Amino acid sequence: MTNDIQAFRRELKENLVDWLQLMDKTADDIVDEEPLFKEGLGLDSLDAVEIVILMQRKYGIPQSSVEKKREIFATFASLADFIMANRTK
Amino acid sequence: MTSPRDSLSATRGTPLGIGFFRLLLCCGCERCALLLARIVTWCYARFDRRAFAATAEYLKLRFPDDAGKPAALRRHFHRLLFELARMLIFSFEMGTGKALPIVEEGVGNFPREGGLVVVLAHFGCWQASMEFMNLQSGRPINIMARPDRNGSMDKYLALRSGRGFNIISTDGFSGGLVEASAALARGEAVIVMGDRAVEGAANIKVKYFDGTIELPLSPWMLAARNGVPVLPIFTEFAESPRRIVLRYHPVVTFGDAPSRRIREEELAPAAAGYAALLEDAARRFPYSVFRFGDANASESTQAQEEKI
Repeated sequence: MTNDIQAFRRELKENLVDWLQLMDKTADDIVDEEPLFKEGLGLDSLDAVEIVILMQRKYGIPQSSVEKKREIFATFASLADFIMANRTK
Repeated sequence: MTSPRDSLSATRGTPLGIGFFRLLLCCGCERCALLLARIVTWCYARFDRRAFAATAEYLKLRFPDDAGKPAALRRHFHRLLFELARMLIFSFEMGTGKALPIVEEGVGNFPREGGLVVVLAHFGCWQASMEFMNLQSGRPINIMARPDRNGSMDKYLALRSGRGFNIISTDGFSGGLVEASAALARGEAVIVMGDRAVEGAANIKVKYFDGTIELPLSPWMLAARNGVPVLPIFTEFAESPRRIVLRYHPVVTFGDAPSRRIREEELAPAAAGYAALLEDAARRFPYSVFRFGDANASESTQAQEEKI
């Protein structure tokens, strides 16, 4: 994994902890290949909307480009890869 | 919660019985259909313990003086079921294109542009409000629903799907919230049933009469997150003269969305305000409230049945 990818994933983890207000978690607790929802990080459907808004506000990715792509939200790594490939800011 | 309600809907009413009602209505015998409905609903009120249990929580809250009187509660239950039958007959007639007395109140409250969350309640002839959404909205309309769980709802929504309504399945990823949020961001309208808690989703407890009920958080969260208003609509059966009143309440708005997760406490006042609207509607039209299933929110149906 290149340094760029590593740095971006670190930044995204910190953004997620901050935006979602994951009180009992730190960026280090988010494992790349673990599921984001339910048994993984434990996020719920309202968090999914929050992530979509975060993607729109911080990375310039319109909501319409992710609404039918549930696979993006499978793991933190899949989410990070999608944002990195599609970000406009 | 929704699952008991779903199974109640799926198991009540036979195709033969429904077909007979339709035949009567197609022949123009509305009075015969209403008379038959009165008899059928009396039988349900007398013998359907499970449906009774699913309505008991509401009836006890609405009629606290009768809470310990099973016979009185059953009388209320019968009136409520008859009102439901009347609503279904009305909906059927509306579907046939028959001219029916419907008036709209508060049309000025309907925002003319931009994303909009519409909250409906299982109250009165709520389907009528969807018919009018097409006329008032001026924007694409999405309905959040579980079409796969209920045959009659499936048919109802399929009919509308060809008339500009897009169905967002709440069984899909994130309960359809991501899709709904994207629709709001595009400036579309999203219809959400706001009066029943959804099993497994984020709900909020609110005051209702002298007790509490759970309502879904999703309509308020979607609106707050996308900076769009929420429009509550109620559909009342009014008398003298007999008519349907479509009441558009003032919209609920939220301030600028924060750059962090929206907390439940921030949405609580809006949900509480909606509960007050539900309560007011129930005070004025006590038998138009079709909130079946709340009896199971904290206790099993069987436990409720044993209590009654």
